[in-house]
Amino acid sequence: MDGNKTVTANFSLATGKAASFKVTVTGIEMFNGSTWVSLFSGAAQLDIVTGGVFPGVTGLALGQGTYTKIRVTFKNSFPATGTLSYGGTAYYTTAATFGGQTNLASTPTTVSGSMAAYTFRMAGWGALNANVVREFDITPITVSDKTDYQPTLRFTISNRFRLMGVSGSPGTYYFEHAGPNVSIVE
Amino acid sequence: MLDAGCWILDDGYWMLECRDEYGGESKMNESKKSETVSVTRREFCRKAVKRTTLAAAAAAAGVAAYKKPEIKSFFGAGDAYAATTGAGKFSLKGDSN
Repeated sequence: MDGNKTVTANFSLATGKAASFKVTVTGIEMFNGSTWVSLFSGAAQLDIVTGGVFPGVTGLALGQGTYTKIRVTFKNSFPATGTLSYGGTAYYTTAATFGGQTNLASTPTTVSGSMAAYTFRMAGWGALNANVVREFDITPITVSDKTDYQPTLRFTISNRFRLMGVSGSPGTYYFEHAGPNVSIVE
Repeated sequence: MLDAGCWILDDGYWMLECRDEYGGESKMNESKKSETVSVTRREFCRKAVKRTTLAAAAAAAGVAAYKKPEIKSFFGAGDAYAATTGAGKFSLKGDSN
């Protein structure tokens, strides 16, 4: 041995679910057996922790036909707030980036009133604001004028929100968010 | 009134459409016309065709055949469009777990 070397490792100190997590949908298409039909193009943002209908994506015309797939495009940009506790102390997100990890790590605060949204991007989904496309098979639906099709875009984010750092060294603590699973619920 | 929308035709005309809860009849205000008429949509389209045909003939007789106006754009509630076209409706919900 030439000598001792210190290796610093960050560990997950706490995990949970963000208090708010906003998703921006920019496109929706459905496949009618021969072509993809565009239903929506724009920007519709929803806090998927609260849930509901994406603003502006309601009552859209869905032409007659039989559809078997849906394709959703959303931004790799997720404004989120949250709090996690470790060692008896609650930590809250802020808008400040930790350690130069832009859009990947939020500097925490222990002041609840200072909690602010941090815009995360998912490292595996490209650059900030990149379009992320997900395609889903659906139960074939034959559309008539009576059809009112309302699928749900579901993000699985439980235990993806993490407080990281070296235990006992609050200066090393930061928040990160692992990539959610995305699914369509009919 | 249940819903309303604005259609833009490729001959430069536009029309507003309002549907009331009694169904069937649509009330439309057309651009370039000061009066309000109450006709069905099909009747409106026939009138639009006739008017435009006459205008085209007067402006350029024999130069070009009349092209039936088509809808270029639609502005208004999705419900209005769906109700007019006979299409179904689509909404996207979001949630998390």
